[in-house]
Amino acid sequence: MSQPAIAVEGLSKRFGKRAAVDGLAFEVPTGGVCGFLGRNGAGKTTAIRMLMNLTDPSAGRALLLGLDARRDHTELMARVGYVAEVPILYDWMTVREMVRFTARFYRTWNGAAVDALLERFGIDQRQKVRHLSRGTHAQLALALAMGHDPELLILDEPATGLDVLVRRDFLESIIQIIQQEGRTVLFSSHLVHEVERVADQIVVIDQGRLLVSSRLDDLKQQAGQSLEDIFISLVGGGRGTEVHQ
Amino acid sequence: MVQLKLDPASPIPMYLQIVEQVRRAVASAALNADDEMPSVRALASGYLINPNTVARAYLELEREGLLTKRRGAGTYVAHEAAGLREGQRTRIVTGLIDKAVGAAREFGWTNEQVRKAVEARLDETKMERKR
Repeated sequence: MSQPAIAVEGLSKRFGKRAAVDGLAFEVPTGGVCGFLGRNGAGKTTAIRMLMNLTDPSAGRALLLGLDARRDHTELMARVGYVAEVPILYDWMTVREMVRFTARFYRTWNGAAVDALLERFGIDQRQKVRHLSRGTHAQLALALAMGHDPELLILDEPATGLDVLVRRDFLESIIQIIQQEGRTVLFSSHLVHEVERVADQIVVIDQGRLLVSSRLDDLKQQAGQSLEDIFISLVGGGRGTEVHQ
Repeated sequence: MVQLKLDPASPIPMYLQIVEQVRRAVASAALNADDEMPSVRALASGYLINPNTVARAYLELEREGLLTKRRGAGTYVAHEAAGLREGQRTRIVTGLIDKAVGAAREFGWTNEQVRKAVEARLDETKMERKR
């Protein structure tokens, strides 16, 4: 097996007494799509923010492409693409300006690829970012994250708040992205069906702890259940009381 | 080309859904030796699924001898597939019979009851087809 694209070792984050992420450990093999599943508030965003060196871990570490997320942050910036849960884009710019602005942060920039993605998404580059719909906003963020040809793409709840058709488009772009050999995608979601279609690996966390890290096919075959049923039985221990909180 | 019916939400893993449907297509002669299969890439984008899933299914079908890769020319239904056809048919029908027999045993039916039920169905479906 070649080096994993992501290796997380004992990763923890405490906010005061509360452990948002608690001793998380899993690996994502190179060249696949990993669905990072958990309910709202399970710790997905905190974990991803540590992968991206946006917040320091209280303990443990994360290796991306064999490099340390904190120590090698600068090199990783050039090789990893990231779309935040709420992407920060500048409202007053046009799409074209936003693309140019982002490109300047990178040594290499594949302008043609970005143009192609924007065209596929039907985004007019003369539009102001302010005037984009929520879905288009998310698509622009994805296109920008692809500009430096990242080997690893990390998406935090990329399709939340998108309507069914746009979400399908979005999944289609993820499929296209990994068609290029050796690319890896990790995307978090609390929507099982979204993950099920494109992911080949599943990592499930709850209350900051790892519940499952497995190939999706193996998981289904062992359980003989749909992913939704597996997910519910994993995280819904105290179902009925918890769900209606 | 065979139309696949893939359901990501099913408890059956996606790669197995592909494997089973190709096996069935070979068994029913919907797929024949030398038929070209869509590329992994085309199938993945067409059905909006992970290319790794398709690759895994193709690998399994190659292992079974139903598909064969030709260098630089894609994936084809193997020459041996026709020879394997009868085996596939037996396998599929046996699997379904096992399910029926399992249910009958659960209800405590005797072998004689099962045989009668099968024969009755055979006659009835024959009539239905003639109609």
